[in-house]
Amino acid sequence: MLLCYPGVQEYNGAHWLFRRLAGMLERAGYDVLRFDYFATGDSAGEGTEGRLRVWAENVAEAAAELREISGVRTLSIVGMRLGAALALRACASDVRVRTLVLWEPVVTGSEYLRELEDLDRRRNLWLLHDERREEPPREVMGYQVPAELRQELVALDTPTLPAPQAERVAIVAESAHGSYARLRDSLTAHNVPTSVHVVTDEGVNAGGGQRERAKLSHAVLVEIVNQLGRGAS
Amino acid sequence: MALERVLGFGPGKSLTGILCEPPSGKAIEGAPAVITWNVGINHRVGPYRIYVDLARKLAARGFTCLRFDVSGLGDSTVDGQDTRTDARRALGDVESAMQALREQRGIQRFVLVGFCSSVDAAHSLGAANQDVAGVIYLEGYGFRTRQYYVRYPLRLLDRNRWRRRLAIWLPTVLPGVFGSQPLSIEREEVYVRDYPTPERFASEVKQMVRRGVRLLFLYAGGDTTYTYRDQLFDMLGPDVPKSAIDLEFQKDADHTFFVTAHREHAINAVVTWMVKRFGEAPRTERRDPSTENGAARTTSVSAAP
Repeated sequence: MLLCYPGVQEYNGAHWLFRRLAGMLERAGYDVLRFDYFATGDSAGEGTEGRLRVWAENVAEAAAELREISGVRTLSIVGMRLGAALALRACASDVRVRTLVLWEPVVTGSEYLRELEDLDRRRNLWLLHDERREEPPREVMGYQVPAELRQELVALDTPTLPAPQAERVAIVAESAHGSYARLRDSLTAHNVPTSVHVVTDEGVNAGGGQRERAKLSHAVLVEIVNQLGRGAS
Repeated sequence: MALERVLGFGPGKSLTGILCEPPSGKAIEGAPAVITWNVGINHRVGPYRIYVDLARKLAARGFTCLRFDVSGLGDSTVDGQDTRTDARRALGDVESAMQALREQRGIQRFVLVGFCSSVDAAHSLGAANQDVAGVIYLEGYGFRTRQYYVRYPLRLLDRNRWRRRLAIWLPTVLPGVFGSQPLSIEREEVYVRDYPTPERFASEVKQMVRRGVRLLFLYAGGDTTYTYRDQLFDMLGPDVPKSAIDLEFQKDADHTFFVTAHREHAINAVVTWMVKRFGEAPRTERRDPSTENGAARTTSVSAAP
């Protein structure tokens, strides 16, 4: 099982969640690899050097590494948010998987950027920073977004990617976002069996936003493990 | 380029860190190692990856750095039988980090970096552990002083406070015009902390100064309880000489250095301070026989001007 973190802006909050998921998968008998993309987390590279193209290549490299160190022949991938888009992109080129789990996936980069920029504006307002005047902003949610990365994100539209080499795709989310249906339809049109699984966890009331609740949701993790198990059976 | 490797240490190698070392031939002989650990529930990279950038910059200037996860956070595990509080366990974990650096790199002196909640362990160990040569307080303790209250009404003149207040109010009273989503943000939770009283803090700082421990305090002025540059000296009182302490005040920065330029400024301040205070090899060293385990320990007596 290869786990792909979300983008840098959402990475710190996901670290603990990925550790939990990795533990659950390990206890279910899987070999698991989670890794940091270039210029994120512990990996080499400076914050200004991150690029979507490189991160998608990192997914392919991590897949090859996992096959080599574990000796497994079949692989499944779980990608969260931007990590889902990167996993799709990697599978659309040279990574072949059994099950691809897209967890709250980023479907279009421009919408993702808009969402982050809105959060950024609110965060700056809350932190009493002066209103940012540069357009487009050079940094978003504490991280720099160089022009090249921004262009890549704006151009990202996962339903238009080539068919991924996946036996099946499962979209797992806490609510049925409209763009998930578009992604599902495009994958189905490529003859890739695709399902959308909306998981609500009534037990979680973190008082935060929807995505924060999803991070705490045990039910989402259980659903992901179940989806991966289905692919293996 | 700095050399980085994973370091497993502590009981059953349950603690995980990244050791970041200077390039070959660049290490400052006898320099203390810098240790960082979790800020709140962030794992070892720190908020906005600040510790990765800091460790690499320090390594480029000749300092060895270890940034690690305390037990139960990041990639470090916690023994289910361990009944100590998080605060107590963190102290033991930082001591384990020091021990690992002694055993694996022969390093005998340490600079501890506390940032927000991790200041608790950095301060306690700085006061208690003879091998701590320096403590860096990033957004450490801020006690309200008389001047703090005198200056409090100045907030009314802050345009950004009014902008924030309106962003909270207007959508509530006029949702049709300003949208139905008032500004709100999840405040970072503060868990159980071993927060010293102002008196104890001042007394322990005084002790450290007497012992020759180098101290850097870096405060952010935006929406925190630290509102003017010399507030620290008012907190400490007249017994602690200003010359014994290094203080940086970033008036416009926020508590976690959200803005890249503020973060870079903070990192550069720490690196500059490390070079100034520990950038030369110690001139004299003596053996200190009074060690906890009876093992010999080397203690610097003249590490910096």
